[in-house]
Amino acid sequence: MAAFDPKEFAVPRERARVLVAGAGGLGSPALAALASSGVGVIGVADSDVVDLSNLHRQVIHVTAGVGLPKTASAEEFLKRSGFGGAVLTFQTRLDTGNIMEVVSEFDVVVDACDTFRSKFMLNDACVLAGRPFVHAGVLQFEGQIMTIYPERTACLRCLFESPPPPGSVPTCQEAGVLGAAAGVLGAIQAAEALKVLDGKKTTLSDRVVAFDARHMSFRTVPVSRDPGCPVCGTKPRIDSMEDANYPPEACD
Amino acid sequence: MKITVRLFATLSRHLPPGAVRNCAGLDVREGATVAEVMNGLGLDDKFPRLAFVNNRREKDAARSLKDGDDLAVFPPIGGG
Repeated sequence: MAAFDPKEFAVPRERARVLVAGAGGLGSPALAALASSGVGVIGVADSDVVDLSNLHRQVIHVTAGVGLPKTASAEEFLKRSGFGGAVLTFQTRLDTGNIMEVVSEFDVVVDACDTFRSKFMLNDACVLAGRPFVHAGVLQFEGQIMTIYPERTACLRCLFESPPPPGSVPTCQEAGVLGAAAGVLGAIQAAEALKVLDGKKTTLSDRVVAFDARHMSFRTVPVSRDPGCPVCGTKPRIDSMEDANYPPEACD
Repeated sequence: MKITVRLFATLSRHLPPGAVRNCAGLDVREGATVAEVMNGLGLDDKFPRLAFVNNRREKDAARSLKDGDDLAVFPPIGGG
């Protein structure tokens, strides 16, 4: 695959529009870091409400906000933090019917979703819409992170063609998440999003960082685009958002 | 022959007893394939995964391993 210049995705900070998809364990630290970054617009998408059990890792939400939509709680946090830009909230579950429209409004997307279904849907929407995005996942003490420039560098489906079968992997609710592990990964996601906007060449593109808080290790592995990738390969079978490509998960 | 296996995140529960951190030495038959090693550790063939042999990505599960090879396997992580 030909090399590309990350500057083609660069946007001046004050005009930059960043979407954080998910205002939970990863989204909270990402939003906290973005609040003071000087970006022009922060979008927050989440359909959940704040629950007391979220607070150990979802650090932008407070006890008084329990029961509020996470989008409203996140907007309050951004205002409290002195964020001077505009906040756009999407208090809805991103699905095949709305996700393209939402991601197309932004210059870079932070994947802070908490299900495989959402992560693969976001991957496909960002690739099809041509939006760079920063993928991460976290469970227990561990997580992974990678930055994707659509049709330039490896996407999530270049690594994993499809989500794992329902029930084969424990969910956050079953296995738990170390709040500090989510904090590390969410903060890195914010840094990556800002580097994309700045046109830096040093993002985690075509590289996956595996983080393990138990041993406090960061392992970087090189990856590359897969010509057989179902969404960004040479003969993609996914060229629009169809529900059939996103089977419901056990907990949906 | 002896190889090294590294299993990350949710896969680490498939490591054999005696594993240190994410890593274990494993005695396998001469010429064992990536798939055979993974199956022997109880990893489902249908489970999507990212495998590396000696730090190079390996997409072919039918690849035969050599004595001293290092096999690292990462799962997707869906939590957020």
